[in-house]
Amino acid sequence: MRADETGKGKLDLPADTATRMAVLLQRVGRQRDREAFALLFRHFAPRLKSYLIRQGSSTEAAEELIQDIMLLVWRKAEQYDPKRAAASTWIYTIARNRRIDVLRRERRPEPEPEDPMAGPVVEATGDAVIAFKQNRKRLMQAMTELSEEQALVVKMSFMEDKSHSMIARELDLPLGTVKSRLRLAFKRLREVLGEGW
Amino acid sequence: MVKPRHHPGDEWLVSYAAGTLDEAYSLLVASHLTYCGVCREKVRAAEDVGGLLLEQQTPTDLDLGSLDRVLARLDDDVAVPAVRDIRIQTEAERAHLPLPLVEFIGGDLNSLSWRSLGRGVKAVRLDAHGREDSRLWLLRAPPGMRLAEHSHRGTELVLVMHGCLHDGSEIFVPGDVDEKGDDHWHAPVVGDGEECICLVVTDAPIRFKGLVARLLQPLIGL
Ligand SMILES: [Zn+2]
Repeated sequence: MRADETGKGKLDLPADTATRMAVLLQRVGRQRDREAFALLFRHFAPRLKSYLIRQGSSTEAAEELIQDIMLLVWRKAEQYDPKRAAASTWIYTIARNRRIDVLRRERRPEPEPEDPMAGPVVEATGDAVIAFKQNRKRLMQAMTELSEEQALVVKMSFMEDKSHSMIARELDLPLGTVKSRLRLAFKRLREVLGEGW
Repeated sequence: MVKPRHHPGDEWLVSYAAGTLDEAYSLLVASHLTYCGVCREKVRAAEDVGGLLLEQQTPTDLDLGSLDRVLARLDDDVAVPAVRDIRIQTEAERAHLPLPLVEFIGGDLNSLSWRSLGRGVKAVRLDAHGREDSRLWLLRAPPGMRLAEHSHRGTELVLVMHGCLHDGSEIFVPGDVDEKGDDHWHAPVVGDGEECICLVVTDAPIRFKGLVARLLQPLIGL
């Protein structure tokens, strides 16, 4: 049995992975449920390991980082709002910030949602949970429909920690071309998600 | 609060979500996000790409005992790093500056060693780390001041946080980002009435056209 499939049914969990992960993360947040946490770990930790190694981490450092990241998941789970993000996206942001801190030794400035300076929130319309489930499917489809060169700059950015100029050097392209490919890829993805702004 | 009308290009938002920007660019984007709900939503959409790609990673086996090790630490008594420093937050509110900036400089603007560039213009270079040749500084200029005409070999991003700036036919108010690309000569003018405070990032040393400005370059390390 694959590690991923443990516990399916045992806690009467939804079959759809994204929905199941959101439910588990909420259980951790609300009930400090260790069993739910272990299931999340079994699903995400092996993926985090691949992610971190692609970001330039050694396997040893990746193991340590996963400990940090999953402890942060445990401690911050209360703040998780399934209306705002998929569980994978929420965990991704924690992993990203942690690896910037540890692997690059740089700070990661973030806006504060409660900042009195903060401008008006753009509210999600309709049923956000359904919307994000559909979004995830549409996003998957949209990613496969990107041109090869657009998909490449997106992957190099998100998975290989490559800056605009690093991509330009590696692909031997002008900096402006890299930037416009990123812009076009993002425009395409947002069109598919129906975000016209 | 007025919604910003001038935003950083989407490539900055995507790369902020991907986590590839230098501290300087990252801080400017995070500060703009403080003012701008539209760009916050765009970053959220871009983060979904990260979440999806994480989900699609081929799993790599973990060391034996990795899960037990983390389970054993769940009850460690550690303060949750959730709530941000109240003192800093109050500082930010008082100074009308975005929280990410106030956290970055660790206090208020008066704690910085401002260098005078003459005619009431002051600048301070902030210490920002990164892999590129990006530079970060804060600039304050009195009302009506015409800033030295200059151009760039790379990109310049300016976030207005106080007062306003006229650049060509456009006006930039707090929250707006003025982005200028290669070899674009410009000489922004500070609006009447209030001092202008900006956060500035460039990815190559600025070339000032004016002689005096050029003389000042080594002094302020632009
Ligand atoms: Zn914006």
